[in-house]
Amino acid sequence: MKRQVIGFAGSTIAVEYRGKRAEAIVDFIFRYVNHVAEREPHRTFHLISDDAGGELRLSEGDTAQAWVAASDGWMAEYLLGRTCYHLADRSHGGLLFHAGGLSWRGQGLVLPGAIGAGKTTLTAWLLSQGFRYLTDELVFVPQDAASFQAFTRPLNVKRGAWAALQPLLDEQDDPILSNLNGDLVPPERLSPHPPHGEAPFRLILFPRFEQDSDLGLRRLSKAEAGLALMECLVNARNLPQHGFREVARLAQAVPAYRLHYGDFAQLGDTLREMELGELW
Amino acid sequence: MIRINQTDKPKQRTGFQLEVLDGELLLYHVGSARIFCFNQTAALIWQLCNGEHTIAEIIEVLIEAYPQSKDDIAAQVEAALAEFLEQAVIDMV
Repeated sequence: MKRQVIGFAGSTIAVEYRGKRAEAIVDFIFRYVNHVAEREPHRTFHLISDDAGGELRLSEGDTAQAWVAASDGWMAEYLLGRTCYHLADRSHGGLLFHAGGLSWRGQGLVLPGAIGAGKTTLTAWLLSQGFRYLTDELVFVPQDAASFQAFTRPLNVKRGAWAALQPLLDEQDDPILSNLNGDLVPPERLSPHPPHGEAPFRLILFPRFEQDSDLGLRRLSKAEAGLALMECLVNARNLPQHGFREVARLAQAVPAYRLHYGDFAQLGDTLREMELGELW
Repeated sequence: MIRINQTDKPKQRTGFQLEVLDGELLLYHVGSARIFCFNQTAALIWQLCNGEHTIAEIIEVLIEAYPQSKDDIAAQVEAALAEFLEQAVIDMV
């Protein structure tokens, strides 16, 4: 068995794998992760592929129970989801947000939001506009830090957003792993700039995509930003006072906006007008 | 509709973490993982909800501090207290 250890946000997991398809999936998902694992893994996945075109099997820990899939796309999405879950479950030492993350000229932009808010959609569009990719899912702000770290992974594009994003994709050989829920898209398909894992925390944007809706952009007060950040915090139960003091510190230090949009064409001038314009 | 009596004494419930950010109030209750955001006026009123001042006294204090807004203060205090009660962040004693 080969083994890869993934450390992020004060949490560590490992993946043991055997077979060419299993190796390709692990490389596809984790090739961008370069944070140092600070401790022993608290969860180990075992991924085995039948390379004669048969099934893929994934088990966790010591259990004999396995999740079985015939498709690489299904297995990649499932393993990615379980990885994010277990990294968040033991995350500590800072704030872990459900958020996208990008940078422009070295300055970091964070896009917090619940599932379905449109984080990945906006992240993908910003990549196509020249931003550099950090993540579409998990952002970690270490205690007292002025920068954030990202769990960098292929973008998880849901089926509903595919039509909007397809025109942005480069024609390359980099594979896209698909299933009925959506597609895992390597960031290289959207941007020539290589992803990176950390950036100064410069701006917060809470996105909300609704097809054909009018554009709305509003600067949030610091208290409103704190409230909205708390709602996107995924490791609160592992933190002193559920991370409230740290969230307030961030809300105090970093300007925040709420953005409603229904079409990418609405966004260019608007983003230039806000403080993001200084990064643009 | 929550009825408010001028002689009631509002008192903050316990267990809240508090941050005042640019005058606005961010309250977090660790036990229930509930979070609230209140505007500057409500933040001032919250500070006075110590179980010792009646509502009438709170209104008086604020009128003294902000005489230019005296016509609106009673309504603002009652609205804020109604919201505090609805959100269960204070009790009347």
